[in-house]
Amino acid sequence: MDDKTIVDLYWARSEKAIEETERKFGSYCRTISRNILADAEDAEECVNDTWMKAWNSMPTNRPSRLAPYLGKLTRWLSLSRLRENNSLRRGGGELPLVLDELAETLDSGFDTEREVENRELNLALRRLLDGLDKDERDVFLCRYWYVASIKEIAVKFGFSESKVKTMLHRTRKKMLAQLKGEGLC
Amino acid sequence: MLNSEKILFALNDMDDAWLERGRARLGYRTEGERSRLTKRRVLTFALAAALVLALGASAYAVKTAVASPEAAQKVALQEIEVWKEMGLIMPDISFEGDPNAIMEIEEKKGSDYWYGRLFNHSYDVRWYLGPVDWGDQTPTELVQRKYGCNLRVDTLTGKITQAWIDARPEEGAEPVGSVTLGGDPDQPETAEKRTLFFYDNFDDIFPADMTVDRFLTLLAGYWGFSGYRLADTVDETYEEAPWSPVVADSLLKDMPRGNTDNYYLTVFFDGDQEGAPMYLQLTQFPGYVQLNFGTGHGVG
Repeated sequence: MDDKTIVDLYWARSEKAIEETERKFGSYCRTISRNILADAEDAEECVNDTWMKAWNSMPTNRPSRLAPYLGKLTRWLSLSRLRENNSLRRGGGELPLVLDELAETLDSGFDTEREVENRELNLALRRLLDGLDKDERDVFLCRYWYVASIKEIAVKFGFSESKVKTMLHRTRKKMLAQLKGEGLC
Repeated sequence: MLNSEKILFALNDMDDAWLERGRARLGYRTEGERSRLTKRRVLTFALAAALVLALGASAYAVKTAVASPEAAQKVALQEIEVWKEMGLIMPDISFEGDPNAIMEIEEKKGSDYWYGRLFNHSYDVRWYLGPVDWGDQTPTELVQRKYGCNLRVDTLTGKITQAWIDARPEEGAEPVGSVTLGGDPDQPETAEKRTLFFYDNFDDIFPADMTVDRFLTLLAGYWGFSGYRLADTVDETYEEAPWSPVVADSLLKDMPRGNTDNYYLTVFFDGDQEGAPMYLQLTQFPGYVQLNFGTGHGVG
């Protein structure tokens, strides 16, 4: 079933919408959640929460593409779950490594006293990514959005692991420069 | 909240198109995409089993993945979509309408000229570019397309083993060279004298930032080889030159062009037929550009 028809089902308040969403996007959303939570049971709960959020948000939203829409919901719910449990840096998955990488670059330059709004930071990151070449941006998002491992990215992109690490390192440096340049740190 | 965590949360609402690219490159498929892939894998597995059976008992006929010209057309278009998803070729590439020709090519052991390569039974599916600035050679009745191709579909695996992809430039594109036929270039155009123009629109076929290494690594993955070794070859010598990391790291679009010095790259894929090379070539024809790769080249 195409995305538009599924969205129409949500707007018609048909429960078949959730059934079709689970069938089409269940595996994809579980992958996102498992990458973050490293726990299949928790990931299952987050995916179910995603369907609930989708149900509550359509209407009023009418996304043209459901994969990014649902992916964002799943990612946010998965991260929030860890934050609520104060366990973002714990666990055996990729997330602690991802956070360490970001911290390594940022903690040196960030003014921890300054409270930066999420929206302000989001716009700065969008501007940063907009200025990157496609490979750099893809690798950055696969690591820090999809929380994929360095090895997985290397295999899927046909790059060596050291090349992926170097690309990420350079992009993090650019990110720090961008945030400093915009007075956000 | 710690700073790195702020970044992680602030990243959540990124551009949909960027996220979709990332998803495609990671291969995180939705169910519709997955079922298409699964069908292909099941088919490949079934064919492998059929092949084993055939090798063990030659009385059994080998079943094929592609058993008709219609199936070859369908599979060729499916594989083009796979290449787009891999990032090997541009997402805009499409071949409109029915193919102009689908030719069946029997299995054949190549001569020494072909390095003894075994050419599998295949179908050659062709969508012609249509009339171009190519003298009087192109039939004018053909449909004019932005993209044209010859795709050689292996009937056993259902993969494209050789490809020629053509792209004409956008209207008004700036030519990068020209050749004058039938007269002095400095004299006015006449019925006999024609000037043909060359273009450089390879980024219509593959991403402008594509390197030789990435292209061949992706191709190796697509064909199921574990890697590749590159040897650049110049037509005049037919000799293998030392592998050059400089070439591998270069942008594919910067590769020397065919029709200027007959240059192409010879590639040996790990796990391919021993000693039988493949090749990679860019060519500028009057009015269009062409990328070709795979087997079947006169030299390698």
